[in-house]
Amino acid sequence: MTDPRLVRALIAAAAAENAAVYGYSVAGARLAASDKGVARTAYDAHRAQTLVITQWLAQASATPDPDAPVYQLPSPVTDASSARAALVSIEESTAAAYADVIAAADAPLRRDAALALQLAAVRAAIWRDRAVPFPGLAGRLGL
Amino acid sequence: MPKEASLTRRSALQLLVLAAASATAGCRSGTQQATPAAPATGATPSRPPGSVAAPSTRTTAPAASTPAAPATTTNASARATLADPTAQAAATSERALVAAYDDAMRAHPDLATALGAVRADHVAHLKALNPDLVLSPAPVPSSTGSPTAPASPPASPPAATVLAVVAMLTDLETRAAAARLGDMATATGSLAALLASIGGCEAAHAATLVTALASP
Repeated sequence: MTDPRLVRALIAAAAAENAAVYGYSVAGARLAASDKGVARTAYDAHRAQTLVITQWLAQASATPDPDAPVYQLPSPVTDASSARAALVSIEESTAAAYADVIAAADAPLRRDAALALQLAAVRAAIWRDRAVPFPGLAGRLGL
Repeated sequence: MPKEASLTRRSALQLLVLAAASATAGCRSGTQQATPAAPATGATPSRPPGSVAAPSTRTTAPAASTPAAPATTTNASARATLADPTAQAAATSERALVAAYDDAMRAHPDLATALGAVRADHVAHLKALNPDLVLSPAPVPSSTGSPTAPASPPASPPAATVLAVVAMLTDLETRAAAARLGDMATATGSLAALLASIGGCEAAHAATLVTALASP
């Protein structure tokens, strides 16, 4: 039977990805025009990832929590710069959720989750204009 | 900032695609890719001031503080011991990366600030992998570059243009990010999360180095 810790981490990751989809749909509207293409690509990536995690959960004989209609944004979004700041937090939360999956998972899933963490870290760095040494590590829930 | 920033961001995204593809391709070849510009080990009597302690000769220099090195995370899960061979392999790779940035900073003092910020991330990685490690400080831009230094690794000839240096470092970061995926395979849970996070940082470096080094 699947490790319950892994199931909890996967459900949290699915929630993080759903929140990211919502966050991009709200913050994306406030971004500078030159940033919208990047945001659109990221939005698509998060949407695709929700489906991937649903498959992971199915393999673990579990189902994600239903997608909420509205999520809490990590910080208020009023203009382009606050939109970018919110997207940094969203990507950091996503990376942290994958870090929890990695800690609980075995090889193939761990690898896929690590690739997803890398992509979240890259997007966070793009919105932040710089990298941080340990993306996703501070925000781990430690499930 | 908008116009130029958008262009560089676009190139960053292209790099990201390349990085992802390369990470995928490099996955199975694992750690042997991780030490491209391996630093000369401590055999030379006159080591340049910024060189990194070789694995076998962990320096006992009295607290040579690393400038601008962010505090290592206090998260207990970010602690690893070098007794773990997986952490050791990753630390070797990180050491080579620090050395590559040392070389680049010596070759391009004008980029020292931007390069130093990225180097500091790798120093933080090393410290997380081995909390006891003491590193030499980064090369000081204004210092007289020691002409007696032994030949640099072939990957970074002194006359390399800025663009070539950025390309080389981007390649190293991409390979490192891929190598962390390999390191992770045999690690315990919390070490795997640490290695994955380090790989995330390296993927982010690969995607943003062009922007970071192009900005004033």
